[in-house]
Amino acid sequence: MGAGPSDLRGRVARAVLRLAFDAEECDGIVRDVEELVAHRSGAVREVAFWVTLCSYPLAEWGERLRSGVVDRSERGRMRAMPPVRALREDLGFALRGLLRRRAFTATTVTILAIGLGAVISMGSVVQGVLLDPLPMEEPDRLVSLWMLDEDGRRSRMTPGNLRDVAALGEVFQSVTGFQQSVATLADPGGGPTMVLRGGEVTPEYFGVLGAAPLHGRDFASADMDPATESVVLLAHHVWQQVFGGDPGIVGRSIELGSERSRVIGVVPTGLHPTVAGVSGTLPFIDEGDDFFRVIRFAGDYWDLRQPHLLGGIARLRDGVSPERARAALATLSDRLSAEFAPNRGESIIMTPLKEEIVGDSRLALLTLFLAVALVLLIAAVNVGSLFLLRAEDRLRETGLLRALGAPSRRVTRQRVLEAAMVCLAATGAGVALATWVVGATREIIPYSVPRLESVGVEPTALAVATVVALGLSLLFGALPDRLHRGSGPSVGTRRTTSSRRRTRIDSALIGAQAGIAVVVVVWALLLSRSLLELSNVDPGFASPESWVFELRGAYGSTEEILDAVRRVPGVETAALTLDHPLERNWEDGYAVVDGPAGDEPSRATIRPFGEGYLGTVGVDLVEGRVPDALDFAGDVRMALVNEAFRRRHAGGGPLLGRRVRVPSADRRLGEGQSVYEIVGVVRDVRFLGPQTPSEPAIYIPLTHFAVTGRTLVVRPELPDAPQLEAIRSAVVETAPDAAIDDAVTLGDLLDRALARPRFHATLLSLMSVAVLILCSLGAYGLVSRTVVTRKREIGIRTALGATDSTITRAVVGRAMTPLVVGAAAGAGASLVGSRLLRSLLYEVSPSDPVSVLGAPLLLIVIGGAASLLPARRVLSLDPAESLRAE
Amino acid sequence: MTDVLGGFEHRVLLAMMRLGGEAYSVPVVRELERTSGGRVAPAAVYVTLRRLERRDLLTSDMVPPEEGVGGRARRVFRVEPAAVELLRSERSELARLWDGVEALEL
Repeated sequence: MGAGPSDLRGRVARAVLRLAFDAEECDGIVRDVEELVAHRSGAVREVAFWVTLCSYPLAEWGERLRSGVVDRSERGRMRAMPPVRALREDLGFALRGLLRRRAFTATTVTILAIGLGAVISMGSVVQGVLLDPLPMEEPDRLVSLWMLDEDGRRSRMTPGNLRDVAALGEVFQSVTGFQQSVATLADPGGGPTMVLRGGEVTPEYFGVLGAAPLHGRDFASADMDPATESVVLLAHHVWQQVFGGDPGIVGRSIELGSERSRVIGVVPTGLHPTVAGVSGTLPFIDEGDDFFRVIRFAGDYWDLRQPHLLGGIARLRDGVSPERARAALATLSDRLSAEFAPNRGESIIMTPLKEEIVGDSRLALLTLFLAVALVLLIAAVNVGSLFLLRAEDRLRETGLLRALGAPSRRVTRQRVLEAAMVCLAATGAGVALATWVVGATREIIPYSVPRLESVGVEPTALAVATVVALGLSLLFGALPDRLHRGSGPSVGTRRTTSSRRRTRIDSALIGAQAGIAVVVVVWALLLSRSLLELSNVDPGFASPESWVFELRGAYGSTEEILDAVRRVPGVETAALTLDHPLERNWEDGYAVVDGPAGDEPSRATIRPFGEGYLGTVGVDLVEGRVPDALDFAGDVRMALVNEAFRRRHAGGGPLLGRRVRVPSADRRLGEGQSVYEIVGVVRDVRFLGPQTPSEPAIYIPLTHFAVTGRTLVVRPELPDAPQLEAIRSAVVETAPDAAIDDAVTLGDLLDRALARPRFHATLLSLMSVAVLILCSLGAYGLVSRTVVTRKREIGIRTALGATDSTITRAVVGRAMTPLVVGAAAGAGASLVGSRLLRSLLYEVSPSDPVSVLGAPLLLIVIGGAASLLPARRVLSLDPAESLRAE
Repeated sequence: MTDVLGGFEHRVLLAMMRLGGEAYSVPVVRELERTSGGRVAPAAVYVTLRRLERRDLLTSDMVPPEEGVGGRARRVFRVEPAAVELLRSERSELARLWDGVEALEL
């Protein structure tokens, strides 16, 4: 036998022996056993070795059991025993006890593992998303900058305002602005053209975040000059995946989008330029970190007070409090409002960057975490009740141990150890479960929770769960023992615990479970009803089967592409647009030119659209007319507005024929050219998602806005035959540099917008199923025990002429009373607790009667059904047999 | 601590005496098997030896391996005078009990 395997064999042998013996003793025993089997050979010897070896710890445990329980003379020894040794004995004792009752062990471990697994996974998500610091230098000093209008709506910064904030050097160390940018890149490896998502940023961007290029240099102010060579920083993953980690990447010139740029460096992956959302934005905003370019504009760009294009991030100067920075921003806002018309009624605000990134997932995650904690609580109550039952079963054993002189502290310790083994096994299983759940969660919710992609099972969550498990062990181990302590040795040897007390405890546990369960079920019902309401919301467009294609790299050839796509068989209509119906990229100021006094300059969503757009996505005209194809080329600029716009200006007489001015379009059309006549009104579209009512919008033909559409919408003749490949090849054949970035139907986009509420509702529904099952198990168990322990009484009653229904009622009543009381209390508690959910609910009140009354009813019906099952067993009993039962 | 030997303890101690009052567990097992003519569980012998040690009737030491025989130390037990004393008193007690029983010609 080689040294390796023999060594392994020795280690395993020692490990087996260590279950019962000191380390120093193990070697001697292994030696003895080897000698004992030395006269045999081959496999027989090996088998004999292991069988004999394993008999040693068994004999030792038997020895300890005897000396612990029977041999009174050992009593002094048990007290005087060195603690480690005694602990090991007790562990052995506990292990044997658990192995003897496998069903009990399996049930308790499973129930607790579900509860702990849920806590560990949700705890990890909460910690990873909410509590962990951002992967940036001193993230607490980072704030994001916004404009806030009088209606409390946020929008991005204007270039001019951002420049003025950057000048507040006494409070801000540095300030940066950014906007998203998408560009096509021909695959250097010869594959199809790919689409990269990144950002255009000011040169300070990486300095503000506290990041530096891994290779090459950072941006410099000189890079902003449009006269200089265009430069780009690539993210590490693009460098690796697209350019194969080319060591000569710095200095290489690449064709990115319409522009040839020189790569000046490589930056770390994960520095997204896009902080999720203007309030109410759809949760699926792109976060591109593939490449970064410098914002380059000639002329007066950095003086513009419109439009609101730029995201802003600032780093507070060291030692400057947020209050002081806010005060400085308020002073600046006042000055700007007085100075510039577009700034009137607007103020510049800042929010901690972390809050921005985490956004409103905070509340949802805390709610889920609370629900999970309640599930754990129910699991704990359930398992506690099982331990109580077990302690009762073992009264005889406990009494005997005491009578024989085992110190009661030692007995308690053995019970606690036993419970600890169950809880630790459950924690282990829970960790496995949590690892799987966290992985699955990342798959289930691709769009909804920021930072989720970086979440794993967190050590802190694990530590908390372990502490909880150990606390539960103490409770499960010591409490039942304490409750039964009153029954001394003489009583304990017989089974006569006060049954009234036992019933009280049972009822209290069932009641508590019912109460907690109702809270979780109410939440699940509320969120599900809210989801239902959301699903029934009319989004404002009638063609969910229409497809949306994001065109990239189609500079100047969009019209040709549109013609080619319209010729594809199976395509009914197709149109170009800037934004698809579930998107809002452009919000801007406007004024009604010939409006009555009081029509102050205001803000609206600007929606440039191409010919045939409204019909393709199914947005109906409610008044006036849609400008026809010829209008697009004419001199008169025309526009449509939506119903929300009409409501806003309802006081000013008929809207058709009046004119609006959108000043920011002047930059494209020439000074004073951006005046549009309103020729029609279209239905409201909820472009920020079903949750958010439509904002006033102005639809302006693309041609009248001098922009090119970058989104293609296509309505197929048959919903299921979109001819995706044919459309794709039509695009590529027409414009070889172009690529279709994203191809989804409007229905899918609507679905994505509901991803987050659906996730919450699904998760809570699963949890409520779990609590209902646990609670029913509790009720079932209680009635089963009642039936078993009161067989005799039931027999007498039947013999005395009690009807089946009387007896069933009496037995089931034992479980129903605490269920009903607990459910009622839970409904009351949920009235308070559900307020937490308010902001997650759509058109459903936190005290929604259907949910608040439905949940306890559901619980009572299911719990009642569960308790009827064992009760029916009573009826099949023969009275004579029942009487013989005891 | 009561000074009564259990049946198996008694036999293990006697086997130790037969081996010269000093032995590790394997010869004790062999001795018991030889005298009883049946199988004896080595683990039971070992555990009993350790128990007798806890009752101060035996002492034990780890003895390093001799040249060429495996690589592990073994535990060697030694009979204490107290054990000899106890065996003696057990024997005289048993003898007193036997006294008169033999007359029954079992």
